[in-house]
Amino acid sequence: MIGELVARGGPRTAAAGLPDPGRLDVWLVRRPRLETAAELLDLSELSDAERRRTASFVRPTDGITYASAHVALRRLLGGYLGLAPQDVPFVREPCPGCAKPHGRPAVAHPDPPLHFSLAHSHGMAVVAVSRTVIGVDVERLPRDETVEVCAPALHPGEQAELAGLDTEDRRAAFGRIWTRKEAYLKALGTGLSRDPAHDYLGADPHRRPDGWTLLDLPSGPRHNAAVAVLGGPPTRVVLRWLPPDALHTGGTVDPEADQHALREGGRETDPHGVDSDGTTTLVPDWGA
Amino acid sequence: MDQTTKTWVFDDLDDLDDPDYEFEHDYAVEVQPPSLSQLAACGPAERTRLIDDYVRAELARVLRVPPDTIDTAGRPMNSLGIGSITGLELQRRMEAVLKVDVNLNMLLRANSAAELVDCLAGQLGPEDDPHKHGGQRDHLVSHDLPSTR
Repeated sequence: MIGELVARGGPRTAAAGLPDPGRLDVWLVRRPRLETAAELLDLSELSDAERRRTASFVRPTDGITYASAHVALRRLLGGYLGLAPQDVPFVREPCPGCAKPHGRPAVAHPDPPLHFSLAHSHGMAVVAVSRTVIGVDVERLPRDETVEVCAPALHPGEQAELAGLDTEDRRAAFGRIWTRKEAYLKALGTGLSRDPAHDYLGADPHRRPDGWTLLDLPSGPRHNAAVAVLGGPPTRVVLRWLPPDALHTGGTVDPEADQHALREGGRETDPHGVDSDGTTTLVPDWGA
Repeated sequence: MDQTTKTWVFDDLDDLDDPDYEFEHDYAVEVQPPSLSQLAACGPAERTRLIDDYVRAELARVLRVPPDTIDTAGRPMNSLGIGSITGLELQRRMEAVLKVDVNLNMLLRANSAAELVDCLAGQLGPEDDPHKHGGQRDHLVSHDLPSTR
């Protein structure tokens, strides 16, 4: 199935400008259905390595999720930077632990004009874009058996929070802790080379690492997602679905134009545009 | 985000065709690990075969697929479907059985399961095996150290 996904000529994306300082853009991406993915998805802008990776997955749906995430990332960053998606220059920052080039993925620039983070899991991807250092994670809700095996690897404070919960609540709580943790470790640049037991990312915000803001992202009944932001809370968080056709041949992403569309036709969850947790959430009508 | 909007936003995820969202197609795998004494006593080729069978079974259990469908040679862990949480589960299960330290980050970055099998085989031979080493920082697999957690 994935082997049938072929490169096609892709669109160029108009410059849309960088997000304002203090603003966090979060894009949720869903993959196309299995039976239509080969026809719809445009892999022409992916690198050879990305196309090889797409074809390497055992489960075709994982390959489609991976390809969707990377097409979305290139088109989004191309939109922000005014570059064609295939020309977005990715690099790996030095690892904070060993200085080898396997740290945070970044846009190649001596002083990157924006920061981004990408995560994908089982049909869903999340792209976060900001002017400050960020990390994002999304995970499918874990099985109870998995939580049972993995919980002892967490911080003692996190383990204590999980200990008193019933099965369903424990699965969800583990998913929230883990996505906050991986988002934070991605933002740090260490990834999981840092011991998962070292940092507390549990339910109490006051016990979490100083100098960072952790936000749980709405992600539906089957996933958990979170983003870590260096510094204080963003002044504005904009959460949007990527339009499905933005991944297709001929599709484009213009973050600023989409923002105009949001203001005109999107949903704002609160008349003042601010949720109870202090964030702004705007959701367009795509895919409903 | 209020509950109405949350439901509205995510209802459309229900029609995704991924069959394992709620694990309804789970394939239960019973894992029978080799004993440490058995691994230490046999020759290198047999040790590698036993560990390959074991790692294949653990991967199958974590991924919920039949063991004979696991490609141990040609795909990185991520392409098999191992993510950070399932990688952690795999790490902890193997450490508990084999009494070695498995570096989670290197496990997730391994080029193939065969790379993991080779590293485990090097650590689980006789006591005087020159491939054994302690300390997990620089190695995918290292011999179990006291009080690491």
